[in-house]
This record gives sequence, C-alpha cells and structure tokens, in this order.
Amino acid sequence: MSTKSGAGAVFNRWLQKRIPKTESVELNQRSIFVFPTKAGFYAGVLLVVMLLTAINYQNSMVYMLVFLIAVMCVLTIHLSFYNLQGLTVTRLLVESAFAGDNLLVTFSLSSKKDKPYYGVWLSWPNESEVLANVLACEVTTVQLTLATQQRGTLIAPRVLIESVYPFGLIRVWSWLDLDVKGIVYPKSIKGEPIPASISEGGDGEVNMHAGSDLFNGLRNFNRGDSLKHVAWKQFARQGELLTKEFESPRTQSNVFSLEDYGHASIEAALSHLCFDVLNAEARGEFYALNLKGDCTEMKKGAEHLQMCLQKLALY
Amino acid sequence: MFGLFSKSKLESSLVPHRLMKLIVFAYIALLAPHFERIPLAAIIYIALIVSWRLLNIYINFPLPGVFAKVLLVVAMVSLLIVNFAVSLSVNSAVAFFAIVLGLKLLEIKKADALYPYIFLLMYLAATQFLFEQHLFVVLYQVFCIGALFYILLLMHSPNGVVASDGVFSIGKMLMVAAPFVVIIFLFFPRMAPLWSVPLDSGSARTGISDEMSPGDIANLAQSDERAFRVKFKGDTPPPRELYWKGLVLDIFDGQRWSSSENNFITKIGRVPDIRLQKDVSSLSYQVTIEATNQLWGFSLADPLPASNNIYVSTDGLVRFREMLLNTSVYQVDHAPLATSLGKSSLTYADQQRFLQIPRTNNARTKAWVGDQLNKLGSIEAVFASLLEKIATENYRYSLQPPRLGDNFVDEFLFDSKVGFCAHYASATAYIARLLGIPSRVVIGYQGGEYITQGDYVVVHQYDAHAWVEVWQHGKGWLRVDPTAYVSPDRIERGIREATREEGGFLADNIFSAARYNDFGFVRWARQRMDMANYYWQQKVVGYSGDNQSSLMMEWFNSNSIELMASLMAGCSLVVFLLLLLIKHRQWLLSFFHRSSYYETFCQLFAAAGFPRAPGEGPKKYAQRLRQSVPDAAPQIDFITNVFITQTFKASGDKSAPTNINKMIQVQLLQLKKKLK
Repeated sequence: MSTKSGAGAVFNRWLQKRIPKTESVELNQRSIFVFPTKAGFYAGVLLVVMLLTAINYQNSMVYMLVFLIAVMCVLTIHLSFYNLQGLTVTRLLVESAFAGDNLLVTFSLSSKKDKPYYGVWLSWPNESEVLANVLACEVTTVQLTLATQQRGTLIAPRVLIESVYPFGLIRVWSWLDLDVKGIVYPKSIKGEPIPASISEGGDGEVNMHAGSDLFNGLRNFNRGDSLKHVAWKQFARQGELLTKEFESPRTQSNVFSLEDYGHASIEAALSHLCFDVLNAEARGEFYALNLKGDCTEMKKGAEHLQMCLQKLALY
Repeated sequence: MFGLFSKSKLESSLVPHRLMKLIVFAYIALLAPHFERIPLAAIIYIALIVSWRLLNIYINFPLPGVFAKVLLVVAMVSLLIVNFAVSLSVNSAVAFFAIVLGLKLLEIKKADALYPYIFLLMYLAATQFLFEQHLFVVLYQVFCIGALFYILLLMHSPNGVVASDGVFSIGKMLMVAAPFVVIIFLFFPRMAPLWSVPLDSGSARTGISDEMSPGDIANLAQSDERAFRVKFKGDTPPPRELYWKGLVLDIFDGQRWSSSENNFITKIGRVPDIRLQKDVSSLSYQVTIEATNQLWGFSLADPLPASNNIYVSTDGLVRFREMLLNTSVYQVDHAPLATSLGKSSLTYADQQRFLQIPRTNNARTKAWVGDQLNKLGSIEAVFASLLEKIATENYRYSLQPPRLGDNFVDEFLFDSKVGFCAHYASATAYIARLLGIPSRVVIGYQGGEYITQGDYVVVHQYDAHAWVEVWQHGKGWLRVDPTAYVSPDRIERGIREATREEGGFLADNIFSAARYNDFGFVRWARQRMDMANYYWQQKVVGYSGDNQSSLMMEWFNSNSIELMASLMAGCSLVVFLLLLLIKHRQWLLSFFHRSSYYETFCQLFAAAGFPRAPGEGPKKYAQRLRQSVPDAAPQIDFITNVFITQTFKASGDKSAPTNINKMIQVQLLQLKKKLK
C-alpha cells in the first residue's frame, strides 16, 4: 500500500475512487475482490487431470465427478463472496501511543442481515492479523495494532479485510480506508536538562512554591519513583515500599521547556520533555509545558497529561 | 500491493488432531472399495502406516524421522516391485497411488499440506469408477466427496460453530449442484480419447475361464454376481432357448478342455467410442455386460455384430476389439444367412482339431463305444444311445459331484453317475470324438432371470453352463445339451430348481439375496434393485459421445459444439434463476400479492384503534369489534362470514353469489363511513 512506485500509485488512486475514505462501510460488490487461492488452483489442476482421465477412459462417472466438483467450486465463489457481502465495518476508537509502541485501533464488524460471517481476517500490511467471527445480527469488535515509528499524526494505511471461508479455495478481500488517524506521542527518553542557571528560568509562580516541601502522605511505590522519596522508615518497619507524596512540586524546573534541551535535536528534546511530563505526572506533581511560548497551565491529572503529550506529538 | 495472493493464514499452523483424525478416516473410507485390488502385503503396510498416524493423534506417538521414512519408502518400493513389476495396469497404478497416499499421511504436519492431500483423495474417489460404476458405488463416492468438502469447511470454521451446521450446508450445496451437474453431464461435448492409456485392470474377475475341468463351473454356481443383462428388441425367447455362447473348447487332454483361441490382450490402447447400429431386426438384442477383463462376449447362436466394439470370430463367437474393463454395452443381431454359409463342409485342419483326443485312458468307455457300434451299426445311433443312457439310467445332476481320477470319463459314466453340466458335456464330446463326429464343448451361460417390469433378462454367474456342439455334414454345428437329458429342470427353470432337493445352490454364499428368492419380498426387492442398476448402467453410465450426438439430433436436429455450449449455458442460467426465485420467494410473493378485502377490513379497524391481536382468529376478532363498535355490527358480521366461508371451504365451492365482490366493496365503504 505504501509503495510509491507508479503502478502502486495508479492502483491507490483507482482504489480511492472505488472505495472512498469513510468511517463505516458496508461491503458490496464494488468493494469486494475475488480470486482463487493457491488451494483453488490445486483444485483446478485436479479438475483438469480428472477430466483427462474421464476422456481417456470414456468414463461417465468420472465425468460426473469432475462436473460435481467443478460446480461445487463455482458455488464456492458465490459463498465466499457472500461471506463478506453486507458486512459492515466501522472504525470505533483510535487510541494514542508512544512512538515505537503499537497503536491500538478498535473496529466493529456487524452483521445487519440474518447471516453470519466466519473466518474474517483483518490486518494492516506487515502487521499481525486478527480473526473475527460475526454471528447473525450481531456485532463483534476487533482490535488491531499498528506499529508506530515517529511522533505526529499517523494516517493508517488501508485495512485489509479478507476471508477464505468456506473451503479455502477462493479468497475474497477488500482494502478499506476507515479514516484511521492516530496521535503518536514522542518516545519518552530521559534526558539531562541544561542547568537552570543557564536557562532563562521559570516564572514567579513556580518560585513562590519553591521549597515548600509539604508532606502529603504515603502511597504505594511505583517504578520510576525516586528512591529519595521512599519512606525507608516504613519499609524497615512493615517491609512495604512506600513513596512519600508531596503536595507541591519539588523543584522549580517543573515548567518543562524546549530550551531545557537546547543542546539536543528537536526530536530528542521532545522525547526528553515527554519523559519529564510523564515523570512529573507519576510523582503527582504540578507541571507545565512551555513549547516556544505555547505555554500550558500549571496542572496535573490525566487530562492535562494528555493535552501536554498531544502538544508534544503535534509540535 | 494489489494482493491477489495472500499468505495463507493456515500455512504455518499445525493440523489440529481432530482434523487429522477425519483425514485418516476419509482415507480409509476411500481406500476400502479398492481392497480387492491391493495385494495383502500392501494392505498390511497401509494398516501399519494408518495405525502409526492414529497413535500419533491419540497418544502423541512421534511421527517417523528421516531414517524411518527412508525405511518405509524402501519397503514400499520393494512391495511394488514384487507385486506389480511385471504388469503396467490400471490396477497396479491405482494400488500404487493408494499406497503413496497412505505414506503421505505420515508426512502431513502443516495445515496447508492438507489442500493438495484432500484433492488427491478426491482423485482416489474417481479412480474407483475405473473399476465399478454401479449406482451405490457412485452414491458412496459422492458421499465421500461431500465429506472431503466438509473437512475443508471445518478447516476454516471457528471451533464448534459449524460442526452441526456444516453437514447440512454441504448437503444443501450438493443438492443445489445436482441440477447443474445433470445439465453439464448431458451437454458437455464428449471427446474421443486423447492418447493411449493402460487398459489391463489386472484383477481377477468371477466368470468363466478359457479352460474347463469338471467342477469349474460348479464353483460359479456359488456366485450370484451378475454376468450381463440382455434386452431383446422383439419378444424375449423362453429360457430353454437362451444358450449364451462364450467360448469354444476344442482341446481335450483327458482331464480338461481348453481353447486354442489366441487371446492376445493389449496392455495399452484406446478406450473405444461405442456406437450401436440403429437399423436392426427384431431378433437383435442389446447386452450390458459387466467387466470381465477379457475379450470375449456372449451371444446366442449365429450372431451378427451390430455395434462397433465387437466382431464375430471364426468360431462364430462375439469378441470385443478392446479388453472389457468396464461395464459396457454391445448389440448383436441374428444372422439368418450365416446359417447356410460355412455349414456344408469342415476344413481338414478343423476336422483334426475337433476330433483330437488323448490316445490312452478311458478304456471302459472305448469298449462301450465299440460294443454299441457293433450292436447298433451306425454312428448316429450310438450317439443317440449315449443320450438315452444318460436320460434313462440313474444319472444324477449335482453341484457336489465326487472327485474323479485320471480316467474320469470311465469313472463318471460307469461308476459315480453323478455330475455337473461340465461332466456331461465333457463325456458327451469325448464319446462323439471317439465315434469320429467332430465335436466341441461350448461354455457360456444358459437361461437367465426375466425381469418383467424392465422386460429384460439378467444372467448371473450361477447360470454358467457347458454343452456340446457336434458337426453334422450339411447342417453345420448342432447343439446337444446332455444336461437337458439328465435334468430338464436345469434348462427349463434354471439351476435353482434343478438343485432344489440336493441344495448346494449358493451354498457358500449365505448372504446372497438370490438364495432367498422364494420369499416374495426378497425377490421383489432384488428385481427392483437390479432394475434401478440396469437403467443406471444403460442411461447414465452408458451415456457416451454416441448417445449424446443422437440425443442432440433427436432433440435439436444438430450436434454442434456451439449448440451444446449454449444449451449448457442456457439451461444453467434457467436453473440459476429458478434457484434465485426459490431463495427470494418472499420478495416474489410480495410482488404479486394484492391486499385482500379482509386485510383492508383489519386495517380500517386498526386505524380506528382496534388492531387485530397477533394470532387472534377472525371470529374472536369480530366478537371484540362488535362490542367496541356496535353500530358497525352488520358489516363486521358480513365480511367476517364471507372471509371464513371463502377461506375454510373447499375451493371448488361455487355456492357464493357471483356479485360477492361488489357486495364486499359496498360493505367496506359503509364501514369506512361509520368508523369516521
């Protein structure tokens, strides 16, 4: 699909016209392709050899068997086609992912007519395939993963939906553009910020909080928690690793800015910022993101995190 | 890119045990009909392989490694060399194919190897038709093909979802396929064979052989296999006239009679394209003969070939041009002119041939002949006295005659006096030769079972018979059947009756239905089954290029390939449309459906707030409506009554007034007004 060659481009343009981009599509004769599988060609060879036997031995019953198997194969074309025809594929949820991780996309397959669809495989090119069986008048959801490489908006290639049901002799398939657009966050990599003195420094609000180390309570130790915050006394007493939580940011550098990593490339810097943001969120601290003047509020929580990550992804 | 082919999802996955089990059973089921063709050693070999695979399935016994595989292949090759090295035949080819398929069972690990294997199994199913094409054989193989498709279906079905449904859907598919198969079968142009193929099927068949020693034919009496069926164009002659000549035995060595006929059989050749002549006399008959793997055919006396696959030998016997591998059809006419031709004289070579006897042996017989000759004076009188001796002295016809020694004619004529037709024929021909009358033993079949419903005669193996032909100057070969003198029943009513007191008919064949012919139902069922098979063989199995072109000429007055192709396409289209209509009959019904007055009536009340409850009968509904809308009661009653009368009375009931439709419309109009 991603081929840039001439033939590929022509094919893609043709496909674009034939099966346009849409969030939900009902498969019909316009969008379904039909071709024999390798096994289907084996069947063809069998039929030819059998026909030759029938001719050379003038054997009526071998003729009959040839015709029977041939008709069964032709019926199979019809049945295979009907195993996709009328199936509605809808893109539901596109989750976000960090670069290098897999993007998770949920599709629904629904049978609107009173007929089941068996052995339907969905996949992206070069990705793992997922098998779905849709019972009559029911809806099945399918989750596909798509590998990501770089941050940004990922426009997924067309989804391949195929089936060789019932006999594996005929393959029916379609390439669907279900408008899958995912946001890929930068990969989170720990970086060494330039010391604060060199940087332009944060704003006053942060300074106001500086040093106000208010102990807020204990929570379970999470990986990535600083060892400095482990409540060692509790550990000695109860054998549980607990982390001390502080109400306010510990350091003044909780305003993460691109300039902190001025010495690194933009992509690396964004990755470091991503790490910082995640780290701050994990510690339960307030944090803000400053991307060349595009500054966020000082906040914490899932919503805030997502907003920050999105800013990083789309920068 | 475009993705014409996609990597099979099953390619790398292992075959699940449940599927492999089915494959093994399918192999066994397809192999079973070939058992008689496969040598015992090969069967043991296959049994070993199959049980190995089954052990693998059930207790995870490891499949053979490279070393074991090599051993198995070596074993198979030596097995084949020992058993089949000499003859290239259909039989050995099929046996080889079956064994290799068995060996392949141990090889299958990945699921994608199943596809070619299943198709090879389908081919194995087809190979059985090279040997047998009976109705039940065909049904069995079609069933097997369905089962193989079912295995393919299981391969692609989610676990358990399709298991029970699948059988049904395969059955449905076969049913939908059937009309198309019939159409293609009728109109697919039949070609002449493209190249020569191995013909000899190599397997032994029950039937007469080209040698006869006393007792041979008695063995055939144990077989209820069908030899051939005959349909006469005119009236069917009575059984006593039905002497089906097969072979002439002219060489006698004191024990056995054998034929000097050279039965050279080609191993490779073309399967004939059979054509039956159309302009034949009313004495002609069509014979549907079971495979014999021989060249000989059977006919009444004085045959004249009337189909292209046979000729008449110098001995006046029907012979096939190609070996008889399959059930086949030939047609014979009666040759009236032949009776006078070649009957006036016998060449010197032939005289020698038909007078040859071993020099010594049978002293008592020779003495008896000498005595009789002295006493009676003429050769003919002595020969007649022999037949009289057989008829009057206490000779007995028996299926279980005692064993006889070297001087078997002596022992038979003067000591045991018990024999089967072979004994009588042998002794008679021998004495005729002693007397100097050229004579020969003829073997073939005598009589047959007349199937009234089908107006044809079935000749079974147990009808096998031997008789004598003696040469009379000016008259030619005359038939003399000594068995008729000792046991007229054998000739008039068949071997069953002839051996009724003694028993022994089909004695070893306890399951033979023919043995229980006394029971009316058994006889009826047997004859019906035979008839179904007969028509199957005649009309379906025997449907060849010749039948096709004559059918085409008869129906359409042309037999061009274009016509057949368009017929095939046209008929298929019609069937396809019909199937489509059946599938969408709801839609079709709605298309032609006009809402009836009663529906209008119901709709009117529904609009007024009194819909008919689901399942509510018209009477109950009317009752409810009368209570709700009392002033519309007359209309409600009228329409309900008319509806009930029309629906539940016989359709032929014409008592309703002719203007009933108008009355209904009037009532409906009044109802509309009242409801407003």
